[in-house]
Amino acid sequence: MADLAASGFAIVGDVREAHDTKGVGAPVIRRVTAAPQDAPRGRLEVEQRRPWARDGAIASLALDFDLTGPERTGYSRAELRRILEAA
Amino acid sequence: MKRVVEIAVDLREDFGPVRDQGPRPTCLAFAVSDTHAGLRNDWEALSCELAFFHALRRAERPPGVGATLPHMLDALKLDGQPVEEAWPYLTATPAASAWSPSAEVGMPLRPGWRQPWPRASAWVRAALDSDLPAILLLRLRTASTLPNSTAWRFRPRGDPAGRTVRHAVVAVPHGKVDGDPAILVRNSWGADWGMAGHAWLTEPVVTPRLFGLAILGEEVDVPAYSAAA
Repeated sequence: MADLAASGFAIVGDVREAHDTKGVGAPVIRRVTAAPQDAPRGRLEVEQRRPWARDGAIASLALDFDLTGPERTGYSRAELRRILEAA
Repeated sequence: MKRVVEIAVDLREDFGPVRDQGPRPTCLAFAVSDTHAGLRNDWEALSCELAFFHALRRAERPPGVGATLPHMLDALKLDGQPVEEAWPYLTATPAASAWSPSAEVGMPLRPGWRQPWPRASAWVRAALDSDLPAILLLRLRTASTLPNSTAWRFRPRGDPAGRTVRHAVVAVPHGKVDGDPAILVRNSWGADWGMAGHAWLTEPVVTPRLFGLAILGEEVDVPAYSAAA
């Protein structure tokens, strides 16, 4: 979470939700809401780690995001970028 | 900050090295399996995989979820558990269709008796005073600790006697931390966590979060139930 904040995201929410009301040690869903403060576009890479563990990440996720607003009709912004890069 | 720790009773020598459940929901299986192993004369890790398997089978639950205390105690009582080598712990959650013990799983061992106790931290001290480790079920919201820290560090935000995450640990010693009554717990998050896998919890931390407590008996190698019995 500290890395996320240091990367320019404001942490809006961080909650854990348990859906198994019987089991002990059952998995929970951690729902983190973060808003980019500076660049509305970029690449987000997150890793699931145990804070104390020295071994690597348990899981990871990488995605490109674009929060510059609603798409206009026609080509999407991503498609336009690809077309322009290829030209 | 350096803390002053006074130990009244310490059962850690009855246990082997702390084990690591990894990302699986097996904390209760480790707590119960290791408590059973710790009661035997010489430490030898027992197959928590088999205990977890039977607890979920009895509860009719899939392998990716947590077990319940009554079903875990039933698994020890009715199915027992062999030594770890008979069915070593799996590091990842298996598919339900591929999860079953081999036919030659070995001689199951059973603790003499097991029972839930009143869920008060005073009973934890009473059990430890009787040389019996106690299995604790705790409700947490967020819990973390830094390596080599003395006491389990709870984040102040979002953990006012949390109600979200259920976790099982084993109380091994009790004593005082900075003058407050405290219990040292053996976790199943590997030796890098806390002090070689252990951390102190003071009673003001334990009491509001404790929702279950169980003690296993001393007669730990009860023979298998006879088919004629």
